[in-house]
Amino acid sequence: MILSLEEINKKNIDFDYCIIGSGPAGMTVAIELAKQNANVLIVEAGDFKYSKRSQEIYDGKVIGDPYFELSNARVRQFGGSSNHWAGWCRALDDIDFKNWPIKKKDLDIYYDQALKILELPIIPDDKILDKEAGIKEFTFKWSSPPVNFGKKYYEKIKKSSNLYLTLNANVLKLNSESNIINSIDVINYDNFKAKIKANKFILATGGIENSRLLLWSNMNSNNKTVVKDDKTLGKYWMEHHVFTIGDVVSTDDFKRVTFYSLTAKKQEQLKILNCGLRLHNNTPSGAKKVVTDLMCNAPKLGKLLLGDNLICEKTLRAAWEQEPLEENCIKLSTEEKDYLGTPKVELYWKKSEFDIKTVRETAMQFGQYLINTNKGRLKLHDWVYGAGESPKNDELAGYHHMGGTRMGTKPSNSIVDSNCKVWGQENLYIAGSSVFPYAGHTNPTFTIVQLSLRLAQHLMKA
Amino acid sequence: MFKRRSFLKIFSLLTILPFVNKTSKKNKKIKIVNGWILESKDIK
Repeated sequence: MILSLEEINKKNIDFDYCIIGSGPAGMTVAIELAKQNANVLIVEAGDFKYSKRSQEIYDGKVIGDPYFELSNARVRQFGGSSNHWAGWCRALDDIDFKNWPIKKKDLDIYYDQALKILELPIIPDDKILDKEAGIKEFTFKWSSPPVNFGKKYYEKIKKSSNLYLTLNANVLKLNSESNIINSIDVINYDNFKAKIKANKFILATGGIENSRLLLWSNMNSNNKTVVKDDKTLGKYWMEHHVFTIGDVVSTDDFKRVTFYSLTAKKQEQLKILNCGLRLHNNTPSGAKKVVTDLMCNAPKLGKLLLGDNLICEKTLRAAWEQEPLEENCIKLSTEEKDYLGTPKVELYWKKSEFDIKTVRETAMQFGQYLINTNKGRLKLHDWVYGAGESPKNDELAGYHHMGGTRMGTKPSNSIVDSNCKVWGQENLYIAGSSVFPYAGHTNPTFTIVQLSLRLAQHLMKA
Repeated sequence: MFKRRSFLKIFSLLTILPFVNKTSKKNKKIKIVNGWILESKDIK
């Protein structure tokens, strides 16, 4: 059922659950909970269509490494950021959960269901290619065309008698009394204000807004009653670094794009995080240039390559895990507010030496693999070796916003527990990648859906 | 006598096997020249 904010206010419905946000996380939780005949309300700030008045609320400032405009890096619309995602899917690796309070097997239970929701075929297992170099090949599957959660569930919501949706409803803050969230303050674009009550609240507004809303709600409550221990709130924010890191001259006709990463054993041995490498075909003119360069540096090999062997030149790209650091964080601006009165976001984000080490060591092992198997040779760009800065005009990142309300074992090191419940609150939960304590190298949507299914399951049992 | 010989045979195989395994899967020696990750013999 789709109702305006005024109608929701007038009807005075007893909602079992109020879900803030209709992206992959919020929608997945909502659809699952509604199956149990619970009264579920989705509160979405955007409209069916993209609107400038909604989108500009996402405006903010980035301090640190070059990054995208924050107003373009996510979508404030029904269906959330599934309105602009590319559909890349893969589950996180076992090793990615090393510092999570849950393990891969806790999410594997929801693997088949996540495949179905994202309309994916089975994703093949990783294949070890070289044990000594620690290289394995992995596969992405594409949700194609990428599932748009708004379009996918619109009819279902419209026809439902217990799943409600209100659009153009901006949540201003969460109100807490003791250890209960008793209501949320909501405003529409006609300045109509309402207090929405529910038994349980699920915050699913994305990897930046979840922190922003909690920081602002805390600031507006007496004695920080929303997030009681807020030491890590907004902190340990992460993205995936995405850069072209080198060129490969190869005597092997690789498929169009191939993906490689290091085995868990090799990552542990090298004391680095997870990094995915992508090998793309390059143009013949690019190939000539790189082969000439290789011949100058390795004349003997150059002669060998110019024999009867096929010569293919590739570009090596990497998308890798960022070290979670306290200083990479979301803060509220002390100077600027959006037109609804909420402080704008300031995002502090910078690569660390350790981040560069992760991509360098991974790429070095890939170079070793090419030599061990005699498949080619790799040249890494100077900045990967530590000489100079990474380029400012590359892909830069993956539009993957993770951390800020991380999952952990105690309130002093996290915002939510292993069930995504905010520490110290009886009825407040968080869905989405803001709960990731570590990111892995894989695009996060698949894991977001798995985690959301797990959260819905937990709520239904509670 | 037969038993002793068999034992020695198995023992010698066990000592050789890890060595064979190690050498056949060993990383080749690399050298970095102007950003290229090369096998040492590429530049000799």
